[in-house]
Amino acid sequence: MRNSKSRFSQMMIALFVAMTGIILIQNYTFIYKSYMSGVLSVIIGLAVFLIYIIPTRIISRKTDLSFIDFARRETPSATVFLSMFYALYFVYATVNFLLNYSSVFTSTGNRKDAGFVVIFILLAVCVFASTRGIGAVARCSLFIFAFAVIAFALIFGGNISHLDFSGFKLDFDGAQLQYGSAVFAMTAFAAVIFGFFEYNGRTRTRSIVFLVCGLALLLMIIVFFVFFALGNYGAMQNYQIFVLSKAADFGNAVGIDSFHLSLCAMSVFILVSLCLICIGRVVNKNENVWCMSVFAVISYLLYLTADYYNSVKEIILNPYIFGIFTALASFAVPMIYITLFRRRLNA
Amino acid sequence: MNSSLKENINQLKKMFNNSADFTVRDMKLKSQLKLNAAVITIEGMCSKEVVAISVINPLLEYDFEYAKPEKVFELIEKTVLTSSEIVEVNSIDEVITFSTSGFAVIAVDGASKMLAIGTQGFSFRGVNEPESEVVQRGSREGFTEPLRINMTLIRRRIKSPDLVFETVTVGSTSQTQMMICYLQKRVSENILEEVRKRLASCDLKTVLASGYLTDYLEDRGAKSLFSGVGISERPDTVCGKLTEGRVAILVDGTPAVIIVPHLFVEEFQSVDDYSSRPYYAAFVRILKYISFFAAVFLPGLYTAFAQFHPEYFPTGLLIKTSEALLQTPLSVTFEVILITFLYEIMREAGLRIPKPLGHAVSIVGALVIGESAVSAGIISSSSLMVVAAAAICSYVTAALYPPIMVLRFAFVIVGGIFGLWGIVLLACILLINMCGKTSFGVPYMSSLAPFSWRRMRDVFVRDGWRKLGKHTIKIQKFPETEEYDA
Repeated sequence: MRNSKSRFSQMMIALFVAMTGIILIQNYTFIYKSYMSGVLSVIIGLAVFLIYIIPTRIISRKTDLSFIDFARRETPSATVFLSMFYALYFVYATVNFLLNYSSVFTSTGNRKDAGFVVIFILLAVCVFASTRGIGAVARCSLFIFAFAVIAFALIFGGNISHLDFSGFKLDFDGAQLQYGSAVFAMTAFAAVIFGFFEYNGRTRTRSIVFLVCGLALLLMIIVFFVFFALGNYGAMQNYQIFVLSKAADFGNAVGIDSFHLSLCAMSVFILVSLCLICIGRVVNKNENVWCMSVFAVISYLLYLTADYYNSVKEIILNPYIFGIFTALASFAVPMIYITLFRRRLNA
Repeated sequence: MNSSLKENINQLKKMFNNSADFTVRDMKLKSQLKLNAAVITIEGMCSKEVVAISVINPLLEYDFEYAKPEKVFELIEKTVLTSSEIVEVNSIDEVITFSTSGFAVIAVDGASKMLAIGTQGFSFRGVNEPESEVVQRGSREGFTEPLRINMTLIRRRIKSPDLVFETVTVGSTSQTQMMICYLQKRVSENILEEVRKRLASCDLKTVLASGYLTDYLEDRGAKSLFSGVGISERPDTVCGKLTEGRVAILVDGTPAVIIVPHLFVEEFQSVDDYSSRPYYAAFVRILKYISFFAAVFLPGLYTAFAQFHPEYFPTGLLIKTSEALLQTPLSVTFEVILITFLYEIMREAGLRIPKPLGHAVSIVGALVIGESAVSAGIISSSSLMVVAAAAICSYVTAALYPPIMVLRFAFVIVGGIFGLWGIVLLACILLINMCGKTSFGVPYMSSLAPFSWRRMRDVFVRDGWRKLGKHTIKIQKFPETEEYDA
């Protein structure tokens, strides 16, 4: 079955949902200090994503192959090492997202369930999804995207009455900019997934532009509402989008945090499923239930370890380490291939 | 086939094991060679009057003079009989097929062939409006059991040589005749070939209804609660689907016609939508989608909210619901499951028992289980109301009732154990399952996912006929359809 335009657009929507998931589960209590730094960190974060997709895009445009297929063709002897690196990266990313999600779940939800049960079930569902293939996950993300649009419209719509521009100042906060950029640059993780699925001449630049513009708009609005609607106290709280959803009011009805929690669960489901599918591609066992299960178990064991040992947790959740790892996976490694095999690329 | 009449008849009698309805009318033809002949029929399958007037009488009256058996056979076929439907039969198996289909088979002693004459005259139900697909504005005709009448109902609506009926027989014992029906210029050759292949793979001994074949027609590896095979009892619906390039399969003995490929959005479309004004059709469609979601999710959400997130209820409703729930001995989850289960039992009983007794079931259901259980404090009125509302909603899309019923139970159980989080995850599983399903290579969720603006004009809303008529929909042109991509 060939790739088609609609499939590529769906892939972009899936990436949008995945990136939304990354943003939703982050705990950024830094926005309240400086509005302009918040906005700038969004721009820097997305610029990093755009830069990271360039190498894989060059490879796919010139060879009609995804990065991993190109690497497999050019360096068959190095495939094992490459597979190990990417498998390790995706397991690391999966555990990062799971830790963040379990943190959101336990601190914002009313349930006091043990996180390990929740994560186990979530991983099982993601294994099921990943065995159905990228097509099913991408199509499913269309519905989650529709739900996200409604949820965000309600969250922001319910906070319009809280907007207060009195404390606005045109100032910058260097530390906030640095940390904020590192957090928003985590969305660049999507560039690695992008590199695994972008192939065939039908891929469209327009879809990528829409994806980036859409995400930039969403993040800008989040920063805007966190800064102007929550006020200083609210903005200092953990999980500010959750606080926004809790504060949203429509007359007598106050608080639509259920939408936030549902959206978190759905987007993390897509995110982790995409990670597992990528692992399947890395080890050349697409949609193989045993392969997905093995890597899900590995991720789960690492999650338990991180949950038990704080030092492990700190390493996995460090945005700078994640950023460096992402830069290697999405930019450095494909760039090495482009440099080494430039002639074959142009042939 | 043997040329001896006696041996052939004996063989047939042996094969039918002297069945009471297997009848042989022996006769001596008016011939100088004193030739014997026989008319083989199955009692009840053919009209006795037609057999007497158009088969036996002409045979007995015609003078064959010195004609030899082969010549007699030719004369009967060309000169003697007046029937429009005469088929040459060359094997005993064919004799069985034709005679059991209502044909009268003529055998002449000394001839190694037989003749089957169309004399079908079995009794059957008339062309009535199908009870499962009632419409307000539209044809009142529905399919009936005999295959030929169903074919006529389609042919009367599409008077084009493009319309093709292909005969297929399935069931090694029942020898059920089927017709693959399609429009030559619209159908996808790949889909048609796949239909033929899948029907040929059916190794059932007996096929008594179209439902027997759905398993064979579903795409492999797409296990789902939802069916990728559509069923309709309305000729106008089937004709509409044929014009979109779909394939219909008519099975003899059942009014339910199979339509493939079949998509999720089609469950929400009805003939009435195309007869009424677009704004009203759109309203009804949206109502159907809302009802579907309410039928599946409402009891589960109620359970989850009542058990884990009571803060999501508005204050007034929360007080009333809490009061009601406090007076009952059971947990909300168990209560909702119990009411739903009882409702399903009553529904099944109401469906199977004779009509006069139906009122008794209604009274028992409404008074005993409804009024008395609430007033006795066994179940809460709010739980009863939620289950009742979901039950009514499920009838808006009656074709989806089986998956709705299973999903409703699943969501209640998951909502009761894990709360809203569980419902969200189960919804994700459901979505993945539906999105991964295909029907003859066409994504089951087509129009919605993969999304298509062009198809949207007949999904949630229906455009006016001026716009709809301009763009012909072809099922094989849906995005991401395997054949389209290949």
